[in-house]
Amino acid sequence: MARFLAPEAFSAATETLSLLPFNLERTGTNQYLVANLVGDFIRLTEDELNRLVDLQIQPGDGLYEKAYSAHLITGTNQNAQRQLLALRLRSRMSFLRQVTPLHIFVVTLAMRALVPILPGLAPKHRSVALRYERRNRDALSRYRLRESLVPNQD
Amino acid sequence: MSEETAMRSLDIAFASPSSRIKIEFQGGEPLLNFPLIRTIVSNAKMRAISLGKKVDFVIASNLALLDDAVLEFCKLNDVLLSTSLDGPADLHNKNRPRPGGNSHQLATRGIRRAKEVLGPDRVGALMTTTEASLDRVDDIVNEYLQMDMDGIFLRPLSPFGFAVKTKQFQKYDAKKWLAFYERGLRRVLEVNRQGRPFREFYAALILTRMLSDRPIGYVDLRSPAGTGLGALVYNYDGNVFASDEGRMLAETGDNAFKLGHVDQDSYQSLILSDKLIGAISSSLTQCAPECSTCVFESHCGADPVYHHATQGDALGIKPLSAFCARQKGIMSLLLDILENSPADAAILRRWATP
Repeated sequence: MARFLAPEAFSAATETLSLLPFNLERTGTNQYLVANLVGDFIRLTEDELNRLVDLQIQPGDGLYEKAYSAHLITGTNQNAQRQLLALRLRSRMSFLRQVTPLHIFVVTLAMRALVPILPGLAPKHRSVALRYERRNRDALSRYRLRESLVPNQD
Repeated sequence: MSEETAMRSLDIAFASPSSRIKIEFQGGEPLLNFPLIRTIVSNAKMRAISLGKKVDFVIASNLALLDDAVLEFCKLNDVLLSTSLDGPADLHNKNRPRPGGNSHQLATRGIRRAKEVLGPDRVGALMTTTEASLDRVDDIVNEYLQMDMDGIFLRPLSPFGFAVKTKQFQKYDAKKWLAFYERGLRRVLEVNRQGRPFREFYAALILTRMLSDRPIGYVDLRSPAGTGLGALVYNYDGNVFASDEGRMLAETGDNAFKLGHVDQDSYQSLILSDKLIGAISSSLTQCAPECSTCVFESHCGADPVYHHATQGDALGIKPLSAFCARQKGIMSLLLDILENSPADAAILRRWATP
């Protein structure tokens, strides 16, 4: 009777591994957040990360499977992983095919229905309304002063 | 804006290679020039038919001038309305002073009428966050629930209306805003757990990037940046800008994002201008210091206008950028919820689907 071969028969005899692109950030003692080329996240310990980078991993040790499924490693001669990542990246970036979909028409600068009622306003209210307009215009120059040389709060 | 300027702007808009374009009317208060809106819409529809393109329309208005004629026009032409709702009456009126102090009343009345006449999904509202909003996020979310909206966009602190503060105080801005955002998001999740579907739209955008491969062209969340490549702004006087913020910068005398004028330029000359190519190519997150090695890069975006405005440089120094601090903060928060709070994670996963 025909039988399946043992699992070992399906793996390449000598598979050299390569790392695929990924970014990482330390998120705590002994913990790293790792993102593959298309931003799938995985958490690794420092030891796991070191073993991964040194490619000190092999089928069955858990980390090998974890790294493979997260698209962090590939067989050097294997194309499937790279093709899959390329396909996903192409899909993610395909917004570039729709060039300039939004067109904003500033049909008037008159604001907030103040203008039609301005003539009917008491002088006191008119000055409030105009001051408000002016404040809006000045706001961006102040905006530019803000945040100069302010570090992130990490 | 004159009719000639409007027609030249349409020439440029329809020269973009996009098969579907959106025309958004802004101001000032665009309804103060409603006759021109009518002209542009009917002309754009004719052009769309002859070019085989699709065109959508949005009017961004405070709805104070919304009347039956405007509503009928919107209904007839499938025009979406977008308005501002900053929160409960006292907060909204404080942000948007108006003789009579009734801007909140006008906005909510307008939203209700528009929903009635055009349909519940044909009017959207955006909030502007000011310092006065920071302690009020529950009230703000509740206001949106009361208005029967399907979600809220918790936006970053608005640069407008801010006095120059001491540097010591500025330091806490990004941190304070993130606390506001987290509290708001958790309130929104609570509403969902109680059985009412209600989204926080910025989280929904980021989650779509994090949990799917669907393309998201939202201007703040893309690299190459969305300035010019995502949107063009035709000012009332015919000047063309790469973004709305770029137009506002020009009002303060900074023309860094002014690309040209409708009388002299074509779509090609605007999009291929050195100014635009310079801003976009120098701000690519894929190769920017800090960004290119950032674990969140795939889901983030370049914001050359913001960094030009705050740091005088389209690329910017990211550890000094509140934009960067906000993005990292929100993504870390979302990841934490996805990993550690199963009930809330199930809600967030739903937001990532169309």
